[in-house]
Amino acid sequence: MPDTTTPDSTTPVTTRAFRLGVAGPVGTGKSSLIAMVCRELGDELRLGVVTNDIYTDEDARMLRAAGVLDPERIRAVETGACPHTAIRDDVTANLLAVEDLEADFAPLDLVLVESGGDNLTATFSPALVDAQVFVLDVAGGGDVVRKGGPGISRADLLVVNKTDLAPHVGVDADLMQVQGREARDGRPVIGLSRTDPASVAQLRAWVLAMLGAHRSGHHVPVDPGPMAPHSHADGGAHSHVGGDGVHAH
Amino acid sequence: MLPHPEFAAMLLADGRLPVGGHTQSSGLEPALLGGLEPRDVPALVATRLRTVVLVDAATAVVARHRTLAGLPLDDLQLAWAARTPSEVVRAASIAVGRGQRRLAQRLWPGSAAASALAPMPAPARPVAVGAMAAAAGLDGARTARLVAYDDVQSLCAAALKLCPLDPVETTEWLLHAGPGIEEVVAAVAHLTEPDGIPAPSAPLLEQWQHAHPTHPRRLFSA
Amino acid sequence: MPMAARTATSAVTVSTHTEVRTARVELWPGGRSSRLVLAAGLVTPRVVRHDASGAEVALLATTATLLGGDTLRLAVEVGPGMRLDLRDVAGTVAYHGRGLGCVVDASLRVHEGATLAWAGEPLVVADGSAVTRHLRADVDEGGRLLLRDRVALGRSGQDGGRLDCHTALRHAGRPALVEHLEVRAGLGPGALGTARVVDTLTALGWRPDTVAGHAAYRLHEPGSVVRELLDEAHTSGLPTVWAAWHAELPGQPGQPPI
Repeated sequence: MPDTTTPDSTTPVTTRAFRLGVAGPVGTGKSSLIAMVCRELGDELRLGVVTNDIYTDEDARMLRAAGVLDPERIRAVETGACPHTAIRDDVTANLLAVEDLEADFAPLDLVLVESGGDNLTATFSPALVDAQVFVLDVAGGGDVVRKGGPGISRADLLVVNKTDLAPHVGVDADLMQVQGREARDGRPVIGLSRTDPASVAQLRAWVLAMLGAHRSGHHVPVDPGPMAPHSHADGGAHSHVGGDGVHAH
Repeated sequence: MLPHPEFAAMLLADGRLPVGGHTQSSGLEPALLGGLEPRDVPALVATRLRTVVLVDAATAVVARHRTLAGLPLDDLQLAWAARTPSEVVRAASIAVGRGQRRLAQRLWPGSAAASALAPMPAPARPVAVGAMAAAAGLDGARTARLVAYDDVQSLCAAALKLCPLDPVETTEWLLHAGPGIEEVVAAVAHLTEPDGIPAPSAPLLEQWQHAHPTHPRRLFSA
Repeated sequence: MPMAARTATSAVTVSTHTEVRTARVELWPGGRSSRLVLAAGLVTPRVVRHDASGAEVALLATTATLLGGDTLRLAVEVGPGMRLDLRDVAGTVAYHGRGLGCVVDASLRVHEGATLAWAGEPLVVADGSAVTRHLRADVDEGGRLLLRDRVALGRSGQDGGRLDCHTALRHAGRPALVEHLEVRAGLGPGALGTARVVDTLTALGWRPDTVAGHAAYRLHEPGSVVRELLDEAHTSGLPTVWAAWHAELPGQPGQPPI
C-alpha cells in the first residue's frame, strides 16, 4: 500500500510541514514540552500547533496564554471524548486542522500535534504524523516504563519528564531511562527537566535532527512514510532512527 | 464494479468511517448545554428527523442524482446553505463534508463523485455524502436512509459520553427511530432539484448549535 | 395564480371566497422627484413622507382582522437607488377560521442600489386559525433589505392556532435564506421550546455590524439574521439591533419606526 501516508491531494506537497505527534498519559507534561519546543525553536522554525483535549481547548488556551507562539497558529480540535480515536482510528479532524494550518501559514516547517491525555496504549497513526514522541513523567512512578506499551517501546522518542522531581517522589530517574532504552531496543530516550539546560538542548537537537531526516527523505521519490516503525504490507517492520543519531532512508 | 448496495450502505453507515464523525454529537451536546433534559433526548431525535435531517437527507439525495447526471454541485450547496442560516452549523457540516470528500477521493478515484467533488474543497456534509452514495451505488432511498441513520446513530453514540445511560438504551432509541427515518426516506428519496429541497426549521436547535463554540467545556465540535 | 390550491394544507381548506386584490407599494425614480404607486387590498398604504429619493409608507389594515378564507396579498417594489421605509400601523390577528385557513402572501423586490426597511408588527394566530404565510424577497446586487418579522402564537390565554411561514429570500439571484417555520403548540423539543413569539430581524444585501449580546447568524450570502424566541413579545431585545442596523442603511430615513 504505497499511498497510505501520502498527503491528501488537496494540499500541495510544497506546503507540507514535518508533523510531529506528542502523546502520553494525562499530566505528564505534553503541553509543557510543546511550549518548550516553541520557545527553543520558535526563532528558527515556522511552527504550528494542534491540540486535542478532553474539554475542547484548554491546552490550546494554556499554550496561547504562555505566549510562546502566535495564538492564531494554535488550533484546538474536539475529539468527542475519543482522544485515542482522533489520533489513530479516525484522524480526519486532526488532519484537516494540520492542513489548514499549513495552508494558512504556508510554508510551515513543523506542526506539533498534541494528543489528548490518554492511557499507555495511545499512539498516532502514520497517516497523521511523520514522527511521534511519547511522554512519561517520574511522578507516574518508576514502574510505568517496565509496564510498556506501544508508545513506550516504539515511539520515535521517549521522554521521561520532570526528572527534577524524582527525588521528591522516590523514583530513580536514571533507572527509568535505562529501562526505557532496554524496552526500546536502543531507540532514543531523553530524561527531561526544564531546569536542566542540557536535557533541553538534547530535545532541541532531536527535533532538528528529525526535521532534517524528514526533509532529506522528501527527495526520495517514494512514499516518505512515517518515521515511526511500522508494518508494511510485506509483513516487515523497521525503524528509521538509530540509538544515538538519526538517519534518513 | 459497484459493491452490493446493501454492503455499500453498511460500509457508509459505519460509525467508525474515517470522516471525523466521532467529533460531533448531532446537536445533542449543544442541546444539553442549552438546557434540554436528558429524558427528552428521544423526542429531540424526532424533532431532528422532521427538520434538519429532512433537509440534509434531501440534499444528499439531490447530490447523488446530480453526481450521476454529471451536473455540478455548486447550486445544490447554495440551496443547502440557504436552509442552514447559522455559519456555525454550516462550518460543522463542512468539517465532516471535507472528511467525506477525502474518503470518496481515496475510495473511488476517477469516479463521477471524485470529479463532482474535485472543485469543491469545502462541501457540506450531505453534498459529499450524496456524491459518495453515487459512487457506492446507493439509490435515492438508501442515500436518504444513510443520512438519517447516521444522524441518529451519532447522537446515540454521543449520548453515552454525555449522559449516564445503559448502552442498550441508546440502541433502543436508534431502533425506535426507524419509522421516523422511513418517513424521511419517503419524503425525499425522489427529489432531483435543489429548489425542491424542503426547508423545515427548528429554531431552538439552531440557537443551541449556534452557541456551541462559546461553551468553554465541550467534548464535541457540534 | 391559484393561491388557494398552492397553499392548501391537509389540515384545513383554503378558499378565496373574497375577491383577492393585491395591495401594492412601488417606488420608482422619476427625474427630479420619485414616483409612488399605491394600491389598496386587505391593507391600505398611506404615505407618511415622500421626497425625491425616498418615501415612508404605513400599511393600514382595511378590515381589522384575517378571517377564514382571507388572502392578504402585498407586493412591494423599490426601484433602483430608491429608499422605502415601510411600517405596519398595527399588528394583524388571524381569528378562528371555522374550518377555513387564510393566506398572507408578501412579495418584495429591491432593485440595484435600492433600500427597503420594513418594521413589521406581529402576526398573531388565535385559536382555531390556520395561516399560511409566504414571504418572498428578491434583492438585487447592491440593494439592501432590513426586515423585522414577528409572529405570535395565540392571544393572551390561548394556545393559539397554527402558522406555516414559508420564507424565500434571494440575493443577486441566488438563494440566501429558505425556511419553512412551523409555529404551533406541541412541537417537540428543539423547535420553539416554551416560546410563543418568534421575533426575527433579517438584513440582506450587506453584512451589518454585530451588536453585543445579540448573536447573529451570518448567512452565506451577505446578510445576517437575529432571532429571539420569547414567552412575551415585549421582552424582545431586537429594537436595539433594529436601531443599529437601520442606522447602517444608506439615504435619509424617517424616524426609525419601532
